[in-house]
Amino acid sequence: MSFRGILQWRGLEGGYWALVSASEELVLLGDVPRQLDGRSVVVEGSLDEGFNIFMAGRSVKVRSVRAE
Amino acid sequence: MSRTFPWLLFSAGLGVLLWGREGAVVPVAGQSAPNAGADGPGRVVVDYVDGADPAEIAALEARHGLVLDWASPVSEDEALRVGAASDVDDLLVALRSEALVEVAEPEIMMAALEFPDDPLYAKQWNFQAIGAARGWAAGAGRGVVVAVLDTGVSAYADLPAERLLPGRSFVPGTDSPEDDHGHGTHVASTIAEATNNGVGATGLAFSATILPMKVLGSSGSGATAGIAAAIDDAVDQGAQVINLSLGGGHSDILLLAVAKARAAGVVVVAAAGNTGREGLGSPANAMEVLAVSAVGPDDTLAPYSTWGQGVELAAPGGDLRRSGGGILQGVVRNGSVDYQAFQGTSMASPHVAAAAAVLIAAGAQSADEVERCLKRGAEAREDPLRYGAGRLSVAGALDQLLLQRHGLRFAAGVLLTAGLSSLARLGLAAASVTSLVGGFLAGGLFFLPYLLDPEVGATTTTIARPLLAWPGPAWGGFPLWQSALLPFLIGFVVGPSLRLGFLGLACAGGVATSLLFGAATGAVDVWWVSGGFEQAWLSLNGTLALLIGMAVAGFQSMGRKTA
Repeated sequence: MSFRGILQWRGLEGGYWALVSASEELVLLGDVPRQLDGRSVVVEGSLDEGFNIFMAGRSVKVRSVRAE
Repeated sequence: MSRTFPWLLFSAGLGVLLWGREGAVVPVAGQSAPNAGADGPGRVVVDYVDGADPAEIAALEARHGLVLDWASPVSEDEALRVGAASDVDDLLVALRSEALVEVAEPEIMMAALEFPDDPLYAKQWNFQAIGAARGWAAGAGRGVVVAVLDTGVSAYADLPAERLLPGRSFVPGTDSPEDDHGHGTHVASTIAEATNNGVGATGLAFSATILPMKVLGSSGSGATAGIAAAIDDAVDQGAQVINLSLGGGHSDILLLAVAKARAAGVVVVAAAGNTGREGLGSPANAMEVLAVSAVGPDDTLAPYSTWGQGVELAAPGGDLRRSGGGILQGVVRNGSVDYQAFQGTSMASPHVAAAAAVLIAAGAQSADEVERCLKRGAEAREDPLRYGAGRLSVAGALDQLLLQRHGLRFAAGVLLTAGLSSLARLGLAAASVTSLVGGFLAGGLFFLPYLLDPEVGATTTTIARPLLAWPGPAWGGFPLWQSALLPFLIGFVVGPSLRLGFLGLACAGGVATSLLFGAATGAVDVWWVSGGFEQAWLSLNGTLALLIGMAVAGFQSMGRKTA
């Protein structure tokens, strides 16, 4: 699945990357290139149904991230 | 004597109390060590023979190139002088060979003990806010096992391996419970980071033992099945508290595991979540879980904290928008140790888990009692959806425990001893004093922590407990201590005395109350006696103590008639 939004760093629980769109903020699980911070990106991945430490809403297991 | 004794007792108690609140005086590391026996410059203190001629002292000091002063304005009589020396070791050897010198030694700097001495404690506003010092004085969770279900836990110098049980991993493809993220170690450090070791930060229940259960991988996520299995395993391994700084969607399997753990008497604590909105996720929304929201250093709900129906307590979770507002603990990342400030309800949850461990170590007998004390002792807030019963207060929770466990004993001790005083035909004033002493011995001065600030000392904590609990775990379970021996000895010595007989009555009344309460509640652990025999031992000795009290009362009654 593809998810679109702006990549932003969140300082919760030691820190994580969030994908912020008009409708939702997704927690990104996995490696994210930090040079894309603040850029519009397309994230390829799958929604994660498990549990995590971030507890900030729906989360996505990241396969790849690229600038839009 | 009868008029002065209560005042003597009061004065002695006050003295002990004040002594307990003062820091002990100890040599300060880093000040004493370089001077003690140093082969170089330092200070020496010399005690000359009493009555030594000042002229002879001056001549001796001149011979050794010393310029010493009297240690204090009153020390001239004691011939005690102190001052700087260029080479302490050689000088001391030379001085000790002088006939005029009784003792010569390096001057050791003394200072009031600072507790804790961990350098980062000053930045741990969270522990200071909740009265952590009371929890430390009450045993710091000694002997309690807290399971941390997280990204794993890694030992480091300030969270040494001996604080950790072997643990287990429930993450597929990972055998070790080591932390490959950092979150789990931060959480475990909030609970059990070594304290008063002069290193890093402190932990709220630093004497507790951590059971590391790795249920989340290096990305911070994990599957329901592993978490549920870890909860079951933690219960099987004897965990008394489980911390769940994690959340996700609904899972019946997880809810069932939590319910089973709670039914087994385990306190289960979970983070409320970090959505900043109303509505708890799982497992925080489970009935059997203590769900914890987060507050910042200003003691108001942190902006990220989830809130709503089901929040039971709030605890410090940090707020990094404010300088120094995070929760500072040790973290191990990629093998390197660092002290980092985190924020999140994951940080709030282990505060409550650690407080639960403190309560269990302090004598709470069940998960229900732990939860009741935590909630009743919390600092109340007007918004239960955001704060539940209020913001966690370790001091308040311990006060509740003391009140519940010892207040009733105190009252029963007063009543029983009043009955014995009546049999002894004591006058009203003497009977009142005797009854109060009996209550004190039965229930301790349980109300002291209410009257004093949270930084009470160990002595205060001791006399706030019943007499039979004074020795603590070290000797408190010795069968002859948990027996009628003490009232027998006291009664034998003072029972016939019209002046001191009231002590025999009070001791018998107080000890009888304690023993019979222990038999009724099962709260006393007598060594080498188990099961029904423990209750039989306590009941038998409680009855004997009562009979001894009645015998003393008989002596007193007859003595008064004769007099």
